[in-house]
Amino acid sequence: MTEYAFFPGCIGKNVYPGIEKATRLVFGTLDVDLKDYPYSCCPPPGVVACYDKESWYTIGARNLALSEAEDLDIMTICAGCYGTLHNVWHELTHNRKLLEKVNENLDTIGMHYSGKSRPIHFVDILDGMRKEISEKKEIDLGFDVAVHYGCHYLKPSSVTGENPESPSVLDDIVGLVGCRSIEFKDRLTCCGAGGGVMSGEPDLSLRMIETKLKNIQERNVDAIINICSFCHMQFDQSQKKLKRFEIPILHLNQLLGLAFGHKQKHLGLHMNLVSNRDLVKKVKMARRVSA
Amino acid sequence: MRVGVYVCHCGINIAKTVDVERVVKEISKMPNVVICRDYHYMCSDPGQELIKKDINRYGLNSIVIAACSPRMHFKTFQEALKSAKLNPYMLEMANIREQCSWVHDDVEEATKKAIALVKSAVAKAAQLEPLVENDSPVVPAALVIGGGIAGIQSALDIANAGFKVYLVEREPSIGGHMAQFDKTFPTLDCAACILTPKMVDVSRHRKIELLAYSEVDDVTGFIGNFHVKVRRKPRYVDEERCVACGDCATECRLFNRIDSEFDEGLGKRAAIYVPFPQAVPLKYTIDPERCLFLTRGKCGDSPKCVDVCDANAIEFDQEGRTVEFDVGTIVVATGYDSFDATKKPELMYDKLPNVINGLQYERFFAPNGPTGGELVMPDGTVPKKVVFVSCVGSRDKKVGNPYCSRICCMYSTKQAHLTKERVPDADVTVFYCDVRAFGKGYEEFYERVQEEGVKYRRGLVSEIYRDDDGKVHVRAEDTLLGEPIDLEADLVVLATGIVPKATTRSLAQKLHISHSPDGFLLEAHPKLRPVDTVTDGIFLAGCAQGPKDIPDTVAQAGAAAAHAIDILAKGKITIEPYNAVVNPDLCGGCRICEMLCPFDAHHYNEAKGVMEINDTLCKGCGVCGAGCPAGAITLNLFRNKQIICQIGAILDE
Repeated sequence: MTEYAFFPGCIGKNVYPGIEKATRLVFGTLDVDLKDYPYSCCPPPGVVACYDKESWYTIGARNLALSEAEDLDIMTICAGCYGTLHNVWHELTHNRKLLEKVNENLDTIGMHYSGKSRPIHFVDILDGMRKEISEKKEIDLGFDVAVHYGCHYLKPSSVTGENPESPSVLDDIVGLVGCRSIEFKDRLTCCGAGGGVMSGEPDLSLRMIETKLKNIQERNVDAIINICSFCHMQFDQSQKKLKRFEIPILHLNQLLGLAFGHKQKHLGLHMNLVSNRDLVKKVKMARRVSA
Repeated sequence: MRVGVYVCHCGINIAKTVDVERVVKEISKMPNVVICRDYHYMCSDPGQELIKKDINRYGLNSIVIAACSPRMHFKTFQEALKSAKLNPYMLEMANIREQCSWVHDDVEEATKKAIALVKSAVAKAAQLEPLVENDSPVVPAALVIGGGIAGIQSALDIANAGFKVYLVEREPSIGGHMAQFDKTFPTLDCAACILTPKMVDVSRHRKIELLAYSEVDDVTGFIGNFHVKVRRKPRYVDEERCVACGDCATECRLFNRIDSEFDEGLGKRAAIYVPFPQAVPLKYTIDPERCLFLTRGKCGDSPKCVDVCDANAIEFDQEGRTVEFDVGTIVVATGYDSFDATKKPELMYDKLPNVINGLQYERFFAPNGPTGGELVMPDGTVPKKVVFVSCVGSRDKKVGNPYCSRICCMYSTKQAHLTKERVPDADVTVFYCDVRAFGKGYEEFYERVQEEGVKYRRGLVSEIYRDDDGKVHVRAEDTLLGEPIDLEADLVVLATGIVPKATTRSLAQKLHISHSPDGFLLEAHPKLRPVDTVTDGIFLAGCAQGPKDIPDTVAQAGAAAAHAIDILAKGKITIEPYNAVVNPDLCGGCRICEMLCPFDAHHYNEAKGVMEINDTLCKGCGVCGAGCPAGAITLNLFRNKQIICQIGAILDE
C-alpha cells in the first residue's frame, strides 16, 4: 500500500473541513494510506516570508522534518501549502549554507531535516493513478466544469517543473470521471487570493475574482473545480460578497468523491456558502443513469 | 646547464604584489643559475635585447622568463632566443602574473609563491632539451561546408585567390536563408538581387566544385591534409540532362500539394521540384519522402514526370554515391535554424493561422513567394492590424536561450516598414523589450520607421488568444505606461530568433571542434581569434558560430577565407614539437592510448606491433602519456624527469 504523510493545511482543515474529509475518502478508495503528524501552518509566503524568510524556511522545514523521520513524502491539498513546502524543499536542497542555518534552528527543538522527504501536490499523485481512478469510478458525472489551476501549483516553472502556459493534467483528470473541461477566457490567471492580495488589497482581490467569475459564467458551467483550498475559499466567499454569482465550487477531491459514490454530506458539499443543491440533484440523476 | 632567469615587473601588474628584487635575490642562489635579472617590461624591445646580449655574454643555454601566461608571450621570447642562435625550445615561463600577482593581495605570501614558481621553472629549465620543428605540405584546396551567404562568400574569396574549393550544400540549391528574404535592412536592398549574382558566380567559377544536395559524412586528417568523404544524395534526376523546363513539376500528380520548405509551409510544391526559380544548380530534385513512385512503387499507369521529360532525365534507379577528396583547410558555414515558436505555447503559433513567424512573413513580401509579393492572407483579406512580438526564443532563459539573436529587432523594423509600404493605412505595432539597433545605419532606419507611423510599445507579450468572434488578441503590459494592453490583430508576427542548426552538433563531432553552452560553434578566442577553431586549419563563418546579420556574416566569411588562404598560400605548415612520442621498445601495442586520444593522433602499426603518433594531429595534451600502462609515451615538452624536478623544487619551499 502506498503511503504519504498528509498535510491538510489551515483552510482545508479549519474553514472547509469537507475538503479534508473528501481527501481521506478519495485516497482511501484509491488504497493510498495517509498518515497524520502534528503539523503547523505551512506558513504562507505572502504573510510570513515577506517579513522573516529564515523563520519561514525553518517552520516549513519543521513540517517536512516530521514526515522525514518516517521516510515519507508529504502530500498537500492546497497550492499555497505546496508552494511554501516545495519552495522550502527546493531552496534547502540547493543551498547548503541555508540548510545548515535552518538545521541549527531546528536543533533547538531536537529536530533535523536533510531534504529527503519532499512535498507532492495531490494532483501529481492522481496523475499517476489514472487507471485506478477509472476503475473506482461509480458514477459518470457528466458535468461541464471550469477547471482552475492554482498559481503555486504551476509556478515558478523552474521549481515546479510544470508547463505553466498550457497545463492539461486537471482537464484530463476531470475527464476520467465523465466531466467536460470547458475552455474560458483567461483560465490561467490568479484567483486573487494568494500572495497576500486577499488580506492586503481586499478590493483588488475582489475585482480579480469578479473578472474570473464573469468569464466562467459566460460559459454556463455546472461547477468550478479547483485543486487548492485557498482558491476554493476565494471562489466560494467572493460569490457571496459580490452577490451576483451562484456557481457551485468543488475541490477536485470532492468531485472525485462524488464520482466514487461517496455521500455528499460526507464530502462536505453543504459547507460551502454557494449552494450545491442543483449539483447534488445532477449527481443523483447521473447515479440513476450509471446504475 | 647555464640558466638565465628574467623576472618581469609588468609595470606594476606584478611588482605591486610581488617583491621582485627579493625573487631575484633568492633565485640567484640556485644551482645552474648563471644570471638573474629583473626588468620593467621583459616583452619590450630592450627587455628582449637584454636576454640576447646575456645569451652571448654568459654563454647561456636555457632561459626562464617569470612574467605573464605563456599564452601571451611564449612566442615573443622564442623569437628572441632564435635570434641569439639558441634553440627556441630551451625556454620555460613561470606565470607570476595571472597565477600569482593578479589573484593575491598579500605581498609576503605572493612573493613566496612567486619564488616557488620561479624555482620550479628553473628546475625544469635545467632539464630542457632542444627540439626541432618539422614542416608538413599543404594540399592546395579548401572545403567549405554550407552554401548560404557565408559559405558562398568564403568559397568565392578562396577560389579568387586561385585555390580549388569544394562547396558542400545539404539542400538542392545554394542560397541559404538569405535567398528566402525579400529586402535586407537597413538599406532595403533586394536580397535576391544582391545574392543571386554571387550564386551564379559560384556555379561558373572554374575553381569551385559545387556539391549541392550533399552532406559531409566523414573528415579525417589534419591541417594541410584533411581527407573528406561527401555523400551525394540521389536527385533521381540526371543533372547533365535536366534543362529545368519544369514540365515534370506541373504534371506531377502531387503538384501544389506538398508544403514548400522554401516558402516555410505557406506555399506548395510538387514531389519533383526546384526550391525557388533562381536555384543554383537549377536542376530538379525528386523528394524521396513524398514521390508516389518512390514511396509506393506505383504512380498511376506510369509516372507523369517520366512521360513529359523530353530530355529523359528522370532516373528512379539513381543511387547516392560517396565522393572523396583531400583539402588543406576547411571553412564551416552551416548557418542556423529559426527558433521553433511552438516552444512558447502562450503565443499560439501552431494553434492560430494568423500567428506566423518572421521567416514566414518574409515570404509574404518576396516576389517569388506564395502571394507574389502581395500582402494578402490565405483567406483573401488584407491585414490592417499587424502586431510584431520581439524576442521570441531570444533572451529567454525559460526556453534555454539566454542570448540575443541580434537580427530580430531590425528585421521586425524592416518588415514593419514593408507592411506600411504595402498597406499604408495599416496599424502596425511592435512589442519590444529593448530595440537593439546596433549596426551602421540601423538606428537611423529605426527612427525612420517610427516616423512612418509604426508604434513601438515596450513590453513583452504574455499571451495571444482568440475571442468568441474569432478575432486574435495580443495581450501585454506596456512597461513604460505601466498598464496592461489588449490589442486586436489581423496578423501577429513572432520575431523568432536564431538557434544553432540541429545538425551542427554531429558535424562538430566529425570535425573535432567544440561548441559553446548555447550550442553555437566555439571560436578559439572570443576577441582575438573569432574565426579560428581549436582545431588548426578549420575556420568558422556566419551564424554557425553565433547569431549575426548579413554584413557581419560576410565580413566573417571573408576573414575565414583569408585565414584559409594564408595556410594554402604558404604551401607548408610548421609543426611545433609539442607532441607525444612513443618509445617502441617499451610499447606493448595495447592500444589504450588510441581510445584515449581526443584528436585521433594515434595509429597502430600492425607490422611492428606498436603505436605511432602523428605529429601534426597531436596537440600534446598528455592524456595518452598518463594512460599508458607501460610508461612508453612521453611528451616532448613535459618529460617525466622535467616534471619531477619541477615538483621537487616546489616541495622544497
